[in-house]
Amino acid sequence: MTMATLPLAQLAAAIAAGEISAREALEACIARIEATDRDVNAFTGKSYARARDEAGAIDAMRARGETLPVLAGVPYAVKNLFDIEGEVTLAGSIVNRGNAPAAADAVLVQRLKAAGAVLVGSLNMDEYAYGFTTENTHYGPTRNPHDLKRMSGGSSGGSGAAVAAGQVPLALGSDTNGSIRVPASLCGVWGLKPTFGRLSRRGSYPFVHSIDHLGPLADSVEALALSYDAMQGPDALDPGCHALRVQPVTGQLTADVRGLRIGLLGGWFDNNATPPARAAAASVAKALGATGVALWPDAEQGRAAAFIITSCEGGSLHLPDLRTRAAEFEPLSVDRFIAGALQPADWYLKAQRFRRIYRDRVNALFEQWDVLIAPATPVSAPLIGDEWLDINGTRHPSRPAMGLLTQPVSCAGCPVVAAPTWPEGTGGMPIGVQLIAASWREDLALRAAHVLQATGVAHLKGVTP
Amino acid sequence: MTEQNIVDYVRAAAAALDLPLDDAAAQRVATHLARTAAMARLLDAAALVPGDEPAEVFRPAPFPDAGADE
Repeated sequence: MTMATLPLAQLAAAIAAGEISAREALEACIARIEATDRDVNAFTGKSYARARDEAGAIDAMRARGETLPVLAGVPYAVKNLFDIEGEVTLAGSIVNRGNAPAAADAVLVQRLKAAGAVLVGSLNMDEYAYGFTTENTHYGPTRNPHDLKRMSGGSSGGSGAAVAAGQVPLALGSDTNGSIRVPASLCGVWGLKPTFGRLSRRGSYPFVHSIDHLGPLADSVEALALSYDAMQGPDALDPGCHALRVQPVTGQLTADVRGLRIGLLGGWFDNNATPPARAAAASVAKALGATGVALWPDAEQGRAAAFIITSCEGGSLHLPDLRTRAAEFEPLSVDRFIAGALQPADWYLKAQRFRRIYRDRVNALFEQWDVLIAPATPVSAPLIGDEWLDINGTRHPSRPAMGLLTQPVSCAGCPVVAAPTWPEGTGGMPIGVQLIAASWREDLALRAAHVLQATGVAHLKGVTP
Repeated sequence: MTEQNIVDYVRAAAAALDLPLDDAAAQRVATHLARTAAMARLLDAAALVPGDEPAEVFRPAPFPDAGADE
C-alpha cells in the first residue's frame, strides 16, 4: 500500500500524528493522478496550485501547534457541477464554458475546506447529470479502472472512477436517480446518497430541483461518515435543504446491527436484477442476518414518477439553450432534454401528486423495517458504447435501465449506502448493494455498511497503475 | 396515442415553445416522448383523489417558532 492509496481514515491519522505532512500526502496524490488519468479520464480540471496552498496551510497549523480539523490534509475531488471559486462550473457541458467563473465555492466544498480537506480537482460526468454512463462526448468517456473497456457508470462517473483508481480517497457526486449509487456500483467503491434535504445543494449546478441530492463516494465506510458529518448543517438559503441540525454518525459506526430489522427487497428489485446482482444482494442479506423479504410499495410507479419529474424539470431548465444552442449539447441526451421540455403538464403534476402518497407508503414500510437490501444496478459495468442490456431475457436500452433499481428509492428520498461487492459471474467486476433506511436514518445504513466492511463482504479492490 | 400523434404533438409543442426542430430531430424526440408516455400511463393507475396535493417544496416563509406567538 502506497501513501496515495492509504485509506482515508489512516491517511488522516498519519497526518494528524505528524508521520506524513499534508504536502507529502498531496504530492503522492498528484503523482497517482498523473500516472493513471490518461487511461481513466476521471479529471476534467486540476486545481493543484490551490491544493498546494491548502495543504501548506494545514502543515502551517501543525507547525504552530494547533489542533488539526478532522479531515486535515485529506485530498479529494468534486464532480464538475460543484462550484469552485474562480473556475467555470461546466456540469459536463461545453455550453457552460462561456459562463462566468464561480464567485465562491459550493457550500459543501466550503465545509470540507473547513474540515481541512484539500481540493485537487474536478471530475467528469454526464452532461448536466442526465445519464448513467459518463460517456461524455465533449470530454471523453470516463473508463472503469477495473476494466478500461467498460463504463464507469454515471452521472458521477468521474467520482466513482477516481476513488476506484486510488487517485483520491474521497470524491463528491450528485444523485438524482442513482448518479452516486450507479458509479459506486460499477466502479466498486462506497457511496452515500443521503436523505433528500440533508445536505445543502447551494453552489452546485442543478439538474432536477425536486430530486437532486449531493453526497460522497469514498474508499471506506469511515471516509463516508467523516466526510458526511463534516458536510452536514442547515442551509436556509437552499429551499431543498430540510435538515435543521447536525446528526453525527461517525461515533455510531461500530454499533453493529444486532436488534435491527433487516430485510431483502423482492418484487421489482429481484425481477430487474440479473443473477450476479441477486447473488450480491443475497450475500449482503446473509451477512447482516436479514430475516425476511420485503416488498417496496409501487416501485414501478415510483420509478415512473421520477422519470417524468426528471425529464420535465431538466428539459425546462435548459429550454433557453435548447432553443438556440441544441447542436452544442451532448448528442446522447439532447433529444431527451427536448422531449422533457415538451411534456404535457398533466404528466408532471400527476407525478408530483403521486410522489407525495408514494412517500407516505414508503415511510409506512419503514415502520416494519430498519434496513432494506437491494442491488444497486441490474448488471455489472457494460462495455463503453453498449446500447442494450439483457436483464433476464428482456432487452432494455442500457442508459436508462442502469437506474431501474435506484430510481424508486431516491424518488422517496430515503438515505442509501452503496456497498461494493464482487459476486461471481461478472468477470471480476463489482456490483454495489443498496442499504436503504428510513429518511433521516443514515446512521442505520452506515452501521450495516460497517458490518459488511468489517466482515470483508464489501470492500474495494486495488487496481494496477 | 399513435406514433404519428406523438410526432405531431412534438412538432406543435416545439412550435409553441419557439424551439426549432427539424424532421429528423422531431422523430428522435418523439421516440423519447413515447417512452415517457408509457411511464405516464403507469401513473394513470394510481388512485389519486382531489385532495392529493403535489409533493411539497414551496414555503412562503419559515414557520415561526413557538416564541413568536407570545
